[in-house]
Amino acid sequence: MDDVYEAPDGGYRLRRLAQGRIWVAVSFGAPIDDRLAALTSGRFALRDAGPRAWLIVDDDIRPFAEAEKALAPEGALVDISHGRARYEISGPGARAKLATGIAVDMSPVAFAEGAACETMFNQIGVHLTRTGADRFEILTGLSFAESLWRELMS
Amino acid sequence: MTSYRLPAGGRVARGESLGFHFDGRPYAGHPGDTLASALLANGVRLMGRSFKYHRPRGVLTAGSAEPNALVTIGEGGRREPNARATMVELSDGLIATSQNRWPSLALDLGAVNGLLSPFLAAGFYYKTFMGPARAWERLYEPLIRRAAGLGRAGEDSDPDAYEKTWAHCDLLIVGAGPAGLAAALTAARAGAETILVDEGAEPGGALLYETALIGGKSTDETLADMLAELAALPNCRLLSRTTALAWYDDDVFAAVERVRKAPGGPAERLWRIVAKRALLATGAEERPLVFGGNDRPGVMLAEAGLTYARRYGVAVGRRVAVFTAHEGGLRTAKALAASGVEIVETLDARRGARVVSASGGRGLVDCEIEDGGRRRRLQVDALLMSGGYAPRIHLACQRGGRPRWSEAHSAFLPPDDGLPFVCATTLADALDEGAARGAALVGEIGRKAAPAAFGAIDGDWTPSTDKPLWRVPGSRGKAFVDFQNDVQADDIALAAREGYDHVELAKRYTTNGMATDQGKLSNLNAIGLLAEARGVSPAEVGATTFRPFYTPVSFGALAGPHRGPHFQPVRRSPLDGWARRRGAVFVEAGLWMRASYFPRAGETHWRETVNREALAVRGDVGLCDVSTLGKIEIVGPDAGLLLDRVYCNGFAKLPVGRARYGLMLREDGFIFDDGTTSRLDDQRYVMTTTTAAAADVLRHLEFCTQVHWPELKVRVVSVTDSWAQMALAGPRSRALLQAICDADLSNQAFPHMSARAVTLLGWRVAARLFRLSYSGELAYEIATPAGEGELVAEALCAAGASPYGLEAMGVLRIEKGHVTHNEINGTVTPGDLGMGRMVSSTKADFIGRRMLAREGLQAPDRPRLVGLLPFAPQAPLRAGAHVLREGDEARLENDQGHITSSCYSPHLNSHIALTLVTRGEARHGETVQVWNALKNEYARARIVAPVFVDPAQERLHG
Repeated sequence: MDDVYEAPDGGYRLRRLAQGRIWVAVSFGAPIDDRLAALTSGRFALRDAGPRAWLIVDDDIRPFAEAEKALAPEGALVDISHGRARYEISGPGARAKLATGIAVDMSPVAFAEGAACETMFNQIGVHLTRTGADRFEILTGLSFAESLWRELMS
Repeated sequence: MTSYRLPAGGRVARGESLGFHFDGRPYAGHPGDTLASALLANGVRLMGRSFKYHRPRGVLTAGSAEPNALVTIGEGGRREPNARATMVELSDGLIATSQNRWPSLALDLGAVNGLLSPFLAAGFYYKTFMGPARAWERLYEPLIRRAAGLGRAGEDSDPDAYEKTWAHCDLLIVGAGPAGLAAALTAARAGAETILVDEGAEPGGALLYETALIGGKSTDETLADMLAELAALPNCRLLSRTTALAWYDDDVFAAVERVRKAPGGPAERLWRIVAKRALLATGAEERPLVFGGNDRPGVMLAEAGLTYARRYGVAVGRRVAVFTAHEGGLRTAKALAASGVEIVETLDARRGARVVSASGGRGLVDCEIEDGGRRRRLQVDALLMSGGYAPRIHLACQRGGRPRWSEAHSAFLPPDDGLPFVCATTLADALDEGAARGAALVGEIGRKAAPAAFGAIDGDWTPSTDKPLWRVPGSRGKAFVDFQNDVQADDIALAAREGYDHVELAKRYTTNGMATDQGKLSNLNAIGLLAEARGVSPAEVGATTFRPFYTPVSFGALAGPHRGPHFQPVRRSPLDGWARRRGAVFVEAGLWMRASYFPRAGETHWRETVNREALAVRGDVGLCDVSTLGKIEIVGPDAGLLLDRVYCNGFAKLPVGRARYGLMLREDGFIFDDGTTSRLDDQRYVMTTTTAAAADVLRHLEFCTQVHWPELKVRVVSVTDSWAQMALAGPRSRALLQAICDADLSNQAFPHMSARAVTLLGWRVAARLFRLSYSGELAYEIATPAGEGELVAEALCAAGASPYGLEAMGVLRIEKGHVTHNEINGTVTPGDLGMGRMVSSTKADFIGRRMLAREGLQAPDRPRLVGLLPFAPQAPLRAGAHVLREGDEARLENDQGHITSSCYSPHLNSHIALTLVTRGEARHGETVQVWNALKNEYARARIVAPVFVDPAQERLHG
């Protein structure tokens, strides 16, 4: 599996990103948004992953135990760093390519920069974040890495 | 070949010629032609043979509802049967053949069915069931089977690609005729994200052949202006050649686009469109008239005749008559005459002029007219009929709403939905209504839009409320209602007489509306005839249920890119590379590829390999990849409480650093899944599930935490992909592991069922270590971060661990009587598997507790897990084989149970099996028969305890 793929008609480019640090943050009911914001600094470091769940995608972050203590007792962390393949898709044709498998409305109005969601690319569960006007980051379980890459190719 | 091409007119590119073949003969046409228009231009009227009676048939329409001209186009993998010639765009080199005839279209032996027609009336098939019994199976069924079906499917692999995509919009408009275009202009000018879909090769709908002037301009000009403006608006997408198939809940639409443009591009694209609002501007379908011989080649719908003239520049005949039962038909006749087609006579049924029969074997020759009591014959080669118009309401009714009968329109209108449907009887109305609805719909979602305005219409339709003529009185000969299924007016009357007068029953009894055209031209006439037979209004008869899809859809479009090896995603373990490097043979396990066994040089049979692997584990040490098992982290103050409620045994009091085997029950008391859950910390557990049930268990836990007990402070997170997990098993496992692990792994420090975080390879790898054993040997399960799994696996193999796969793992667990989903098949309780004591009697409650107490689930004669040893050790015992008492005949009443898992045990040198046997726990030692029904083989075997190796479990605790 290569690290970069350019669609033949030049519409989009696919790039494999380094996994980096990925944590799942969950809340047991009470809001923990402020504490999460304090934990993370990078752009797109805090990503919505469903009701009371977030992905923290940030290499520059304090140790796990310390971070979890900051969230306790209202929240907790699960480290999934090694478990995700991380791809970037960019270019004017990126959104149309994603639309071949993703049912979410990804228009710039409905899905602005920083917007994120857990969804499916056809039959593969993915986490999607818009990181630019024509740029998205897509994460999937490591076991699906090859399959998703192949589906994202033309 | 005499040409029927008009000297001028039409939207075809007359300067260019395209060559094609029909039934082996070469013809020529123009870009812009359909196969139907090109054939008509070449004087070809005979295009097919009808389904039941093999009557000669020609084209009836100029569009999507075509029931007769069904041809096969393409060859090899691109072969497409039952293509409507009216929808096939002519291309250079197109090859088309007619269907349902032998040996040829002109001379079809199947026409003998026409002579048998008294025996083939509606309902004849059901009557063949009435006896004699053997005649049905021996005679009728084989004959009918051979005759059934229309067209022949291709058998070669389809080389074309197919795509699928989602799309979102503010307003979806179905139909790019005048109403749809007006709505699209209105919405798009207001900035709404608009998608306009149209079935035709060219957008425009009726504007493609309409004769009226709009603001003094021809419809061609007006259409060109509209399309130019829409093309310039970036927020408007116009999809031509795109059939809207279905309208689902939540305003989700399906549509299929016939792409086939660039070579290598997709043949079709399936669109799934999520619209905030939708408008159906689908126009109206003309209704055929029902009279004798109305299916002769040359008899067509009036608007079709006009379309062929004005859109394709083709005269449908040299002597054309028009037969109408409503005002609109007269307008069409006039427009046709103005286009240069010779109209010899126009017959108005309202004034008593009627065609009672049309004749001509392979093409219309003349028709018989009754006019003011007198009969006469009129020589014609084309007869255009028009019974009226009915709006195309299909999409509006697919979500279950019942259509409403309108006396004024003599047609069914959509369920009272309000805005989303345009029903117009004049061009002015269509434009105005389209614009008004478009504005109103985008207004509902917050956009202010001014309805597009158009100039005054010159030469518009005159709306009228003519009474419908369901059947021409005095008609002679077979009068067809459903052309594709050969249903005649008499069949409808027969259905009513025999008691099948409910509209849904009449449909099935006669097969009216059940062909590939789904009754687009026949349903309304059938309802009208049924209403007359019953003496009620069509409102009382009602319409049959509308269902997706509007027209047939290819499997290719539905599959999209997911075909062949890419039918579903493939999941690979983090140790996949390690297994491949060691020559593993893989097997599909759900979506996963799992290493099945690792053959070595010289091994000739897989069983040889598996035996060696199993022996290596019990005799030395082996390493197996178990990464595919589901792993779920359960965190929070109430984590233990959640586990207590989902497992039948206790977990809340599990000490930190300990693992426990658990059984999860369904609400009905049967076992759902088994697994091992470990407590890593006060508020952190990790649960393992079987590979196959991982997603189901996660879904179950989410349902429990979100719906059953949202007040619990607990969350579940899947970590299956984050950890590589391997089983290291065998007497030497501790030694190997201790060499790479800093923690004290002695029996005292790390007893059986311990679970702890450790570091491996000198602080390099932060792992989780579990002392669990699926093999029954001294064993550990080592979980490392996914990316570091191979490092650890290689280190252990270098130290002497033998890789073993799924097959050997199976042998080892069967030897120990450990269960999998072979045993946990959805019909067993913990007691059935000998684990009744695991069910807690002290916990307040857990899922399945109440239903498990039902007497049927506690009955003493339930099947219980036992082992089987064959008397002939080399005789295979197959899973699925049934157990019978000695001497009993193989009958259902004598069934004692069946084998759930079986294998060859190299430790016993015998085949062995795990089996569910009635009252099995009390029958150890009994000799039984094992019956393999598939091969009708019997074997004698002895019932034993379900554990074959080390029953005292000494190896486990060393």
